[in-house]
Amino acid sequence: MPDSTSSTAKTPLHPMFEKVILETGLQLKMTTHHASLSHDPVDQFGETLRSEQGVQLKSRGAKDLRKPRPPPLVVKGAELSRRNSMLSVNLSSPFLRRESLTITKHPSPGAWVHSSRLSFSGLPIHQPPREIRLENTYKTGPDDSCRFDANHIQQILQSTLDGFLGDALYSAAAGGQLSRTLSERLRSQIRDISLPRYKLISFVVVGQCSNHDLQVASRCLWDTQTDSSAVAVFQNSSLFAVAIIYGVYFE
Amino acid sequence: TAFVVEDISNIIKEAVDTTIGSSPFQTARVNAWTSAVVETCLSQLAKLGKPFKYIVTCIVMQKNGAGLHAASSCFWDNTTDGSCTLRWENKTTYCIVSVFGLGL
Repeated sequence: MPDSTSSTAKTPLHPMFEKVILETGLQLKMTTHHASLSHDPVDQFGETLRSEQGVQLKSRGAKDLRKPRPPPLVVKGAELSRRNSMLSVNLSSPFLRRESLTITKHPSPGAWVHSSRLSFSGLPIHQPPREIRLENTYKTGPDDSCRFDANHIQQILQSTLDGFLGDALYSAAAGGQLSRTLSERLRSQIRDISLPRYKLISFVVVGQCSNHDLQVASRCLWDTQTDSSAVAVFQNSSLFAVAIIYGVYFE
Repeated sequence: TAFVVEDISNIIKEAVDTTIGSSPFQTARVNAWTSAVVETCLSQLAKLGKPFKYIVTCIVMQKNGAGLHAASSCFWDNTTDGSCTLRWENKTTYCIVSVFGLGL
């Protein structure tokens, strides 16, 4: 157990921690160097560290920062590096470049060797740096309540078609506009159910009823567990309509 | 990698030409035609090896003087996703094939 009162105490490292440091390039002291940081996350993080491992997080001078510090847990380290990626903007400190971060907006050449294993954002590491605007949710699939429910959506499509078309008559001039309107209306209706992270494609075919044959078919290359489609058909004496909605999950 | 409309368009055209070609419309064969067009398109698209999810739709209709309109509306990311629609015809048949590509 390290001596918490001493400012220069050197904690003997567990071999596991050394390995983790090499792999993650984690630096606990980063948070104390950024003027743009609000103090609350830093304080909270400090509290968590103290409670978890008894390692005291102190603000230290630049020369002390080269001593490696054991991260409390790999998971915590992940959290920290994520926070760092969002908050670290300051490039002027040479220390930042030397001690590589797993996710950083401004990579240094030596850093990538150590950080090649971890990519919390899911992006390949060797991408050119770009602004990170959203936090990672670390989700790999849709929630159970948010899947594309084909039956429910098919009912909505059918009722919309029946209501919209009803006794409509086919006309060549209005047919194009009708199909476009219908397509957009169906899409916005399904969008209102607001399935998060689903891309929607609505496809409508409107045609004149006459003595002819028509076949509509579709086939999709997607993930069958998350993506699905719904079809509705409407027909009256003068026209027919086929509406298809595809819902594709977007990671 | 982005959605390249030209390549997809060529793939679709080839698929329909080889499947239907200049055959006259026959009700018995329509099922087989639509399945074949869609499967050929999809397998060619998969061979491209791009990180996309694909949706291929095919409409085969007899030429009878009747009117037909097809429209689609999409909620997606314009920078990564795209679509390509090809209208094909011969003496007795109309064929409309749509390919939607959603970037991963």
